[in-house]
Amino acid sequence: MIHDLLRQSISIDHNQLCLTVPYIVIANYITSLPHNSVADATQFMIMESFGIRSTKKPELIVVSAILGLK
Amino acid sequence: MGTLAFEQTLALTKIIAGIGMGLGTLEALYIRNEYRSRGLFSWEVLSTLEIVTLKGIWARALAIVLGTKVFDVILLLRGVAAALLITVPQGSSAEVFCLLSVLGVSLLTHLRNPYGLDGADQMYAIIYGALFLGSLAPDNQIVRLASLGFIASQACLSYSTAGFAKLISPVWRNGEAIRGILGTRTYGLVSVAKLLDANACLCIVIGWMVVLPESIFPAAVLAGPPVLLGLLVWGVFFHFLNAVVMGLNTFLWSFLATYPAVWYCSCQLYGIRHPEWSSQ
Repeated sequence: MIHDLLRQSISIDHNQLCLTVPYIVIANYITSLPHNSVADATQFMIMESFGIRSTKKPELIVVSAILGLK
Repeated sequence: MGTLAFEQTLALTKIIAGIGMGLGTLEALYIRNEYRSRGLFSWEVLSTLEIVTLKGIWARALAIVLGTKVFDVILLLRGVAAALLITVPQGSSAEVFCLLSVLGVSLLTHLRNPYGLDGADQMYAIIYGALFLGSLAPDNQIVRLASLGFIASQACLSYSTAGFAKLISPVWRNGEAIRGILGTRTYGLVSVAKLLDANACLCIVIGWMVVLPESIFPAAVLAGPPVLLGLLVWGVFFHFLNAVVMGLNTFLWSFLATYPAVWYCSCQLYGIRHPEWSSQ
């Protein structure tokens, strides 16, 4: 799922990424997690890390839009 | 070291695949909340991947079967059918029904989980598909042999494809791939990563211990039991370590389930070339 999202993040326009199924799957999952009762929105990001002992800092791959909570 | 009878080979295949299928079913049921509408594998979202699962009468039927708790029951029935296969008589209509049930649910699971499956699930579908087709003609020796031959061929294809893909990759030949994979949080362990970090030669040795046996697997099947035995022992250790270190436990059972068919076919081929061996 994440691989699919990463592949699509390279091949399509960033604005269209929120229309892809992997993005919607992750957004659905994140917004369904328990949140503080006063929260009215949430957001997720996908980062790439470089192994258990790497000193290299994780790199940002995808940042979602602000996702409203019902 | 000896040959396996055809019935013993089938029984062993069904036992090993049944154990794996049972464990897989328990794992799937344990995370059943992820299959609900607010879970990671929500059918409401995943059904939008294909037009056939999105619109029409089929989509509505699939939404009931795959998008509700009915799917839990179907998974449970698959586990029960896989377990029953170990006990039902070979060549009986009960065996055909159980094989069809396991195969049918496995194929449904592929439709249900476009993101959650791996090569082990594909191998199960192939094993149970071949066993099912073989069970349709229990008195036809050619069909029965073809079903085991197909499973053995698939094992050879899987190993050799993986082996040659690694063989042409420089990072596999110099051991860097092993260090990289076992250094990830998903597939690695801190203790193993530290050990490999301090020993570059060990990475190269492990890398080649994966690449070489995978690449020569079909040749070992053709060479016969004396050579194949060593490779199957390697396979058991390889998949066991993958399960322990990398968490790939489903591959252990699905690939080991092909070994009886691999052994049987190799013995048959060897017996043709060495008649004195098959009469022992």
